[in-house]
Amino acid sequence: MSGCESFRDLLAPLLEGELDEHEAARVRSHLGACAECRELAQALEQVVDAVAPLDHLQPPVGLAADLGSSPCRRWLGLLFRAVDRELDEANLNRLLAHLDACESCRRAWNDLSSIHQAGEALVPPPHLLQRCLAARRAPRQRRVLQRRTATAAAYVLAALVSLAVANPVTMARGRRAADSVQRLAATVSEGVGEAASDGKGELRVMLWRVWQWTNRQASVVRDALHSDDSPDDQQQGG
Amino acid sequence: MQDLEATVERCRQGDEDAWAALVSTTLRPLYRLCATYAPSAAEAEELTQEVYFKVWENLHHYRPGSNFMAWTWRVARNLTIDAYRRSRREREAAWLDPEILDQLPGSDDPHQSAERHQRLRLVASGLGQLDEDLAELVLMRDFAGMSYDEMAEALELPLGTVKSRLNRARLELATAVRRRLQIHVVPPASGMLEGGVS
Repeated sequence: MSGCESFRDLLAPLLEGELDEHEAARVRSHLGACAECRELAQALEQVVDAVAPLDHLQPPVGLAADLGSSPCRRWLGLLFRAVDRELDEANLNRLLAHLDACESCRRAWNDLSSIHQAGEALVPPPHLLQRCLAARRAPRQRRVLQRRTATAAAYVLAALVSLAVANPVTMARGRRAADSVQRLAATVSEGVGEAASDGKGELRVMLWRVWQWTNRQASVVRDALHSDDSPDDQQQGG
Repeated sequence: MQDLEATVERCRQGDEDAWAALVSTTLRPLYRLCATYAPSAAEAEELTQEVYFKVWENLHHYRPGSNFMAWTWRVARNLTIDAYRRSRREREAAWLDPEILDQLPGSDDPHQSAERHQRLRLVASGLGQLDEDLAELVLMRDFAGMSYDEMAEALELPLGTVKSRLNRARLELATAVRRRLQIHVVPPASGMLEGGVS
């Protein structure tokens, strides 16, 4: 029905008794003619009717006395905040003034401070962080076979890389071997790195470790070659 | 009002008797506010205690002469909102808790008591379909019994905005309840059409 919106806006004011007699009569007349608005008004009245008894709601017996007394319990709340260093200056001053006057709160303050200091003195052992991180990384459901295969594959790779890269440290003391060893180191390192990035789960972690180890070995080879080459260069230059 | 202001001022000076008087004066509306937002009667009581502690802790921030109840509502807002979100999530409310309903007049009549519970369930279901901010307006006005002025001050909104939003909230709630009424058979309330509502 046209004009319903303007009447609907007046339904709540009608319930609140905010409309004058003329306007209230006009809304009621519309409700008599429009079934949809009437149903809406009835629903609104249901709400008001349902909620009305809450006007009589009374707080539980004893709550007022409980809240009004026991000042030290309130101060204890501030004490907790003070120990946690979360208290603003005004409340800290209030608390300090109270502590001067109240022995039981002062005792509570001393106890809380001691507990807090003891707590702060507890430092986690250095290895705990790594263990926690490792626990976080570990998959929840391990498949034993897959894990063993991954471990074995990683060790085989490590051994191969060791043979290919680490042993040449003693072999490649000449300038001619340097380039081929570096190329070999780079190739193996790159290959393992790709496998590590494509792998999944634990295999990926193991390959990643091998790849890092390979890089370190390659650096050792390069450093060794560089230190061996330098005196020759100096001799040739001299 | 002036008495309340004087009591608040004495509380700010650390007068414990004044604090007891303040609690005694304000407990009923504040408990009603907490029972409006909390998911159970037990939590309504806990929430009331938390609200009073927060009020006591923040008394030095109160600007003398402003509306103390509205200020209290603002101070307690985070607590009450958290309680209300829990209430919405759990689809429970202190005002549906038998522990509270059994204290209301007429609760010794099983038929009236059951019907009241059914009506309130219907309203709770409708409120659950409203946006949280709209539902809150209905809770403040119709459940907690706050005045428009208190609501405007508490929400830091102009009076006209509060009224128009509340009107919209009530209409949305009525629409939701009406839809439910078409499914559930609840005896319709009477009065408005006959001019009995004032």
